[in-house]
Amino acid sequence: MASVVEMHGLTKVYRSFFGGTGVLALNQLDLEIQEGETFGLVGPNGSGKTTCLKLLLGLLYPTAGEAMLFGRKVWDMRVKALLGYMPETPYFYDHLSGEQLLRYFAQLFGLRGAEQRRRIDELLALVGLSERRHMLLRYYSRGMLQRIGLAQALLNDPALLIVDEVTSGLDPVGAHQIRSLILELKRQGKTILLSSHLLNEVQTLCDRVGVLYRGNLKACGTIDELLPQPSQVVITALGLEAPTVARLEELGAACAAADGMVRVTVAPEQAEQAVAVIQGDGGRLHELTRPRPTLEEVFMDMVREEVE
Amino acid sequence: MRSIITIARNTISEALSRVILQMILVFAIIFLVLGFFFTFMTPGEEDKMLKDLGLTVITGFGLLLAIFMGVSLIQPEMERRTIYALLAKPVRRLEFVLGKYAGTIAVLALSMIVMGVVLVGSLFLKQGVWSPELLIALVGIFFALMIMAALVMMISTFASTLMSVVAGFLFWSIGYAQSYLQQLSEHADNPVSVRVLNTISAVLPNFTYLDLRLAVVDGLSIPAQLLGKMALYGVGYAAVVLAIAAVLFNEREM
Repeated sequence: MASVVEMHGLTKVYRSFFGGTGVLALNQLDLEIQEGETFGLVGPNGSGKTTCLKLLLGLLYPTAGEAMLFGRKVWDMRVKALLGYMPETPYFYDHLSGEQLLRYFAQLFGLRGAEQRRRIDELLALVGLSERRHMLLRYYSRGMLQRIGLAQALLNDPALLIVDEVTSGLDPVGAHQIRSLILELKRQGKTILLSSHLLNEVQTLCDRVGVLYRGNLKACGTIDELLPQPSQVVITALGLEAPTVARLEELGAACAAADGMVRVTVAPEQAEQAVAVIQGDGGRLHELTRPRPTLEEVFMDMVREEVE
Repeated sequence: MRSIITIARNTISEALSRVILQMILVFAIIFLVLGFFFTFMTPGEEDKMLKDLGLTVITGFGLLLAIFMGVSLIQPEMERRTIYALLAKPVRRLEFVLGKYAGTIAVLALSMIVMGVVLVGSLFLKQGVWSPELLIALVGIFFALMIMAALVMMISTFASTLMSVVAGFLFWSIGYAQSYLQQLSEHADNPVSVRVLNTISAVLPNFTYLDLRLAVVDGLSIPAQLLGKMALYGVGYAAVVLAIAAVLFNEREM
């Protein structure tokens, strides 16, 4: 599979007009994203995500290293023709309506006549704005702007879609709609690079994740690779008496009572024995799970040392 | 070329939708029409007064338009971040600069035509005649506005909106005071001062080359070849400034 995005030793230092040491926003980033992959760049605000995207879009120039898209320099117009970009806060020209904005950008892609009209109709329908197509953008809600932002990013049916903070500032319904659209694009086989500080969102949408923190790539891999295997089994049981709890604790289990139930946390090798004790003493099993840490927990573990 | 035309058209529609631009134009027309009613103050010289006032009003309001348009080209696109989505499309930064400038020039030309029609119409109503020299003077003002828009746009590639506006008025003032600069330079004792004054005089535009107001008011004939010289100066100066703006904008990080 071909690499769509390549970053080699990509470094960005923001310097003031008067020079000085500057602020290191991105440090020696090496990263490749393959065709058809949905890649999530995660990290807190100020971790270097937007800087990374801006370097890929040619809005910033790297201090060192290089970024390539489709094997070409990022400012190559052939690259731009294959690219769709949805900015974090899609402020557009408020003197235009939704349809006029799409027409303006479609013309920049060289779309004309019937092809242009068909594409605009398709996209307005896709993002659910067909009925608001003539409304000026200044009257659009935040969610509608986000949706028109996605529509303009898809005008050229891009091979690579770059999305910055995909559901930033949206209400749960709006966020769900945008996530569904991204998942649909993923099913269509688009290569997607999205940045987000919402780790659960990235976990839901992405095949692979890169964790950025203070400009450094702390980890990179599939969700399976990044999330450790569950180390404990959690049994929730009803009708447990004190002697049963004591026997479970002898097995090394941690027991906690809540809402009339007992939550028993035990090592996987002791789980079968714990179940036998519960059932032997007349207790009823309610639930048995092997909870896996979330990306958020893993991320917090990674950065805890530096935060502390 | 496709991108330049598309961006220019968007610039025109954005400018025409702005209330401030409409207000400047409306006030200019009000002042021009008012001049028509105040000619009684200069009995026997009504046409002189109309021409003088008219060209001054058009120059002043044209300057406001050029500065307003010039600062609205790049900085607001960056402040509103509309430029991110735009430059992610197959648009070169040079095309962006040229498209924006072309749109501005079209709006300035349209404004000049509107104001020019009102002035020429007033003169025709008052005197029953109009002079072609007046048109040449209007074209001279237009070339000066072309230079101003390019200069302000260039400044706005690296400076704030306020700084660009201040620089615009400064350039305009110096551009009309070039003869004073030259006099100062001739009378300066310090060689450093002389060099500084000469450099400012050489680098900044000389709008007196494009100002035919006095000649038109005094009814002097203006040779047609002067139009060619003014075009060469106006377009040439604006092109150089635009090239510098394009280089600066290309280096600009967003």
